[in-house]
Amino acid sequence: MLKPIVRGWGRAASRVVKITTPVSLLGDLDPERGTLAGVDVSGKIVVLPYVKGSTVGPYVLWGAARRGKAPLAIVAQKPDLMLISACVLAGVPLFQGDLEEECINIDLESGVYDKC
Amino acid sequence: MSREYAREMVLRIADAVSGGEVVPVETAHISGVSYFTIGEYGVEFLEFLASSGAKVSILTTSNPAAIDLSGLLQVDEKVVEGQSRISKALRSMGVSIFYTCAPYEFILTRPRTYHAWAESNAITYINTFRDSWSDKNPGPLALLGAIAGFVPKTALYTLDGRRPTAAVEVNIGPLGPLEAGVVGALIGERIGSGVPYIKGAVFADEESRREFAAALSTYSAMVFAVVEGATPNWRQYLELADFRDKIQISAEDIASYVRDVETPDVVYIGCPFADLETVLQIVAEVRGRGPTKRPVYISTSPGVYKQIQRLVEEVSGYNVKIFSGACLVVSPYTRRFRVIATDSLKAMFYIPKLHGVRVVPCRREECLELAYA
Repeated sequence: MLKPIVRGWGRAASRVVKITTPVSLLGDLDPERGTLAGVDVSGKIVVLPYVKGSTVGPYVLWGAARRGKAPLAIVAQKPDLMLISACVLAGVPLFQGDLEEECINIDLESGVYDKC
Repeated sequence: MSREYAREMVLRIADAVSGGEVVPVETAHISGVSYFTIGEYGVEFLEFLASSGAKVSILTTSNPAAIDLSGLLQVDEKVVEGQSRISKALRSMGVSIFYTCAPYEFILTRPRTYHAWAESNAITYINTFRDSWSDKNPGPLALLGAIAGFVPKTALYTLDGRRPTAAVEVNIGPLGPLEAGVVGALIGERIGSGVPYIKGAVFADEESRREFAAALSTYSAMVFAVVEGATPNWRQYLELADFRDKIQISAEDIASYVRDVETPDVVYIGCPFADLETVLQIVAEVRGRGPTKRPVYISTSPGVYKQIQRLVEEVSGYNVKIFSGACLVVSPYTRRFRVIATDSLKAMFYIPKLHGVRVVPCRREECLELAYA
């Protein structure tokens, strides 16, 4: 089970995409394409250690969500005020924890998941 | 509807960071208002909020923009247009367009009152030198907090979260602006997080206090320090202290930080914005010595600028360019330079990162010497 930080609604099945280095939402996230550090994250569950960089980051995730290019959910090892604000604004569920790169079926509210 | 949206967003953030607890705030200061830094997505968000009829419910001021108020810094049309959309959206929400990174100059926040500020140098200044309470809010959160009237009750809004955790001894005489910046940067780099309690630091003037606050928060995540004898209620903080770290900062530490001085194309003073005294000192100097060989750029707050408007014109004849509402950190104008000399550790940190321009440190008087060299 993942610890829910910003809760979502409903269940979803998705492939997990893992990014192993810290990312900046400003600069690393392309809101037009839905890529984060070059990896396609649009509509997927993305796992990352933590975010770094500018206080402008929340605007970019919000921009991606508006274009339908945001991740389905974000799982961070160390969520901070910046990432939390970004996820709340963009309506992207946020969890604390770690996942392997596989397909999972997740409850976006509770963070309970199992393999697809 | 829009007040409801802001309240809901702040409450959801509070659910995640403070168990849902919030604190009412007296003032807000928002960052991320330069088109250069927030780009199209930031503009869209501000326009979205403005078009929903959102209005701030407390005194809310704004950070510097990508363009200055008198048009001294020439930038391209796209930036001008983007910046004017930002200004329009902010104005329609009732944000006071002061375009300053030193709002503490005219907002005299009282000790132990709550604020939602988002500019790190300003937060650190009011936390440290006034014991006014603000956390470092992301730009959009400060704005949503200004509309809602409250922000998440994070640790810095509690006495327990402000308990000093590191004892710092500073064994150097009165700190001028550059030295104060170096001390702030060194504390930031060596401690990283927590609350430093600083013994032995005497700041030479107001400018030094500003540079210290700006550097501490630039080189770490910290936005609060207790300075013995200077921070209101410092005795109470000393009683609460739970020191886990202990460091000393010596004159040698500072000397090793301030090394080679390469000949710059320009000298830059005013990050954070120069106060009136600093501007007048430089004006007096160039009046005595005549035109400088290399341009001296001074950014100051619109408030100070207004007081010295006639001087601005006079000193432009001495190659001194005073401007307000923007600074060389957030304006793309900076990219035309190769090497900038400055007494600001914050400018030293950001200008190379944001613009790829080299920056060399100098004490105020050395900076001016470089302008005449």
